[in-house]
Amino acid sequence: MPENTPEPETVTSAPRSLFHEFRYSEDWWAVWIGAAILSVAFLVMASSVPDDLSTKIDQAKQAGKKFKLTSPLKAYLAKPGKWKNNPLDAIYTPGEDGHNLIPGIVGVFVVSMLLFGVGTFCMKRSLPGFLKGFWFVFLLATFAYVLTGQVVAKQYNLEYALWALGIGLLISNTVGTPGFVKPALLTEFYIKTGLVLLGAGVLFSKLVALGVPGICVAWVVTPIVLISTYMFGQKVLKIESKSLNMVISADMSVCGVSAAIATAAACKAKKEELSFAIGLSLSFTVIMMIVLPAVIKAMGLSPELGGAWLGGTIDSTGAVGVAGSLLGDRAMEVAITIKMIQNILIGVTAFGVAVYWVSVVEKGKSNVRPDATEIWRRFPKFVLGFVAASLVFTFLHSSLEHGSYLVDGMVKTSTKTLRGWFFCLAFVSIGLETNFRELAKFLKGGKPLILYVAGQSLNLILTLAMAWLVFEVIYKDSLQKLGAM
Amino acid sequence: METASPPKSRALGIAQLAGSLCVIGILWLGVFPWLADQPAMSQRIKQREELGIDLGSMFYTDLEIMGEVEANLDAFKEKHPNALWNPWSEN
Repeated sequence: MPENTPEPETVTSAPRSLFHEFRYSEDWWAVWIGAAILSVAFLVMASSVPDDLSTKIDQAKQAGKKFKLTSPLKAYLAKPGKWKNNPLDAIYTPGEDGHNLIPGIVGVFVVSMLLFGVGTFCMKRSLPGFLKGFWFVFLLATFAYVLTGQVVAKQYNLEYALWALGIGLLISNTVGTPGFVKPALLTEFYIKTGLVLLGAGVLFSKLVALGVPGICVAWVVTPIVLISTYMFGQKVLKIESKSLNMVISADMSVCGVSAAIATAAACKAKKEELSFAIGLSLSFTVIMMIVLPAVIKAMGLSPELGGAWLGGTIDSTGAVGVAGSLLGDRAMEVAITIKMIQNILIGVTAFGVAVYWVSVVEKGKSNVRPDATEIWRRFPKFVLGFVAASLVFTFLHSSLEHGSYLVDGMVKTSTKTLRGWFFCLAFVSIGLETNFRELAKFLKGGKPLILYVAGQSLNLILTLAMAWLVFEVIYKDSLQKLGAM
Repeated sequence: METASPPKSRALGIAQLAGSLCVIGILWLGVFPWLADQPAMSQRIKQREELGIDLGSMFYTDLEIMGEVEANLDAFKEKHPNALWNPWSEN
């Protein structure tokens, strides 16, 4: 895309003929870059496995701990950490116990600039323009991470996405976004590539972590709530934007910000719709993480039932952990396990929403029933990369000897860091491209707010009913054994 | 410096940005560090750090504690392989 071509308004793809798409489309370049990162990360991880791995795993097991492998790439991929009084502590602290994250942050900067630079060049966009602006976007993303890392700010579920968005909005709505930065505002490209990396953590083997009770709470209730909320938004509230309706329904019913990002990209939502949905979700999460544990205590629910209720209803993964910890270790373990199973639903949700969008919603716009070729042409291809990464790494996780250690080590100590940076770059870009007035218009009439509250109310009722049925009636004896461990 | 769509006059925009950065500075460099030293907050921060819970976690792989939780579940499933599948199972 030439430098002066306007950026698309939506988190979307621009489908063309297959060969042309492979060569020039942003969706496929997100897949190629994601695949390259995952391949290198996995090969590096696999080549660094110690000879006595089995012994080390056994020793950790006997000590009641889980052995973890660390990728050699960890030292070269970092993000600012936590700090209390001095923001520089987020990056560097002197002394023996200190840390120096500068090489890791520079490493991410170089890797990101190279990969997105190659993509930009191959898609025939302005490479010099991208390089001139990228450092500025990266600097703002670093600033967002530093703000997130303050230990008190961290206590209120204020994720980096919010600060990144806020910093971008602050600049674009005061002094205006500098012109030289615009070619580096590749929101969709950063999001899609981050999602392909996220796919490596969407392991279907985790789906059975809590057996039937986990599947019932996370995989039966969640789709019912998602579909019911979306239909309520369309039929009762008559929300104008179907994509806004879908993003709010998904982030509320599945797992907050990560689900919102995946769904927004799959249904080609507008950038400001994604921003609004995330703001809504984070606001309610802060309330729910404080109120729900108090309600559970007042109702006298068991730790397993309370934990399952929290895990199935609070949007954000971190907030689920904190809310669970207020009810004790057992509740926290159940809560975050349920949330983990729900996290895996992101892959299915993104794929299902993408198929529904191209075959039903977009059909409605053109009033022509699309054939298979047309559906394929419209389909956001990066979703295929996301699903493929999920399937490949599920296979490696389950079938290789020590596969779970390899895949978990790779994701947790290398690709997770890059994925976080890519999403952070995307949110800075969204902020730099958004006017406050575009966000404020969603509050008019309060329909999105009503949608969220109605959907979350249904979620609370259904999740509690299902959790009670499986945790307190059908599997009560089994879960008592778990509680006794 | 070229601007996208300056909402107001340049001077006003700069003043607004500078004001906002001052507020951020006061909060992050003054108020939050002071709050972090208050006993209740300090204890809460310590507890969550010890548990390995990062409130900003977006995905389960971001939670440090997840490894331990999965290890506990694995140990349970090794001892009771059918317990979470067949509710009437003896093991």
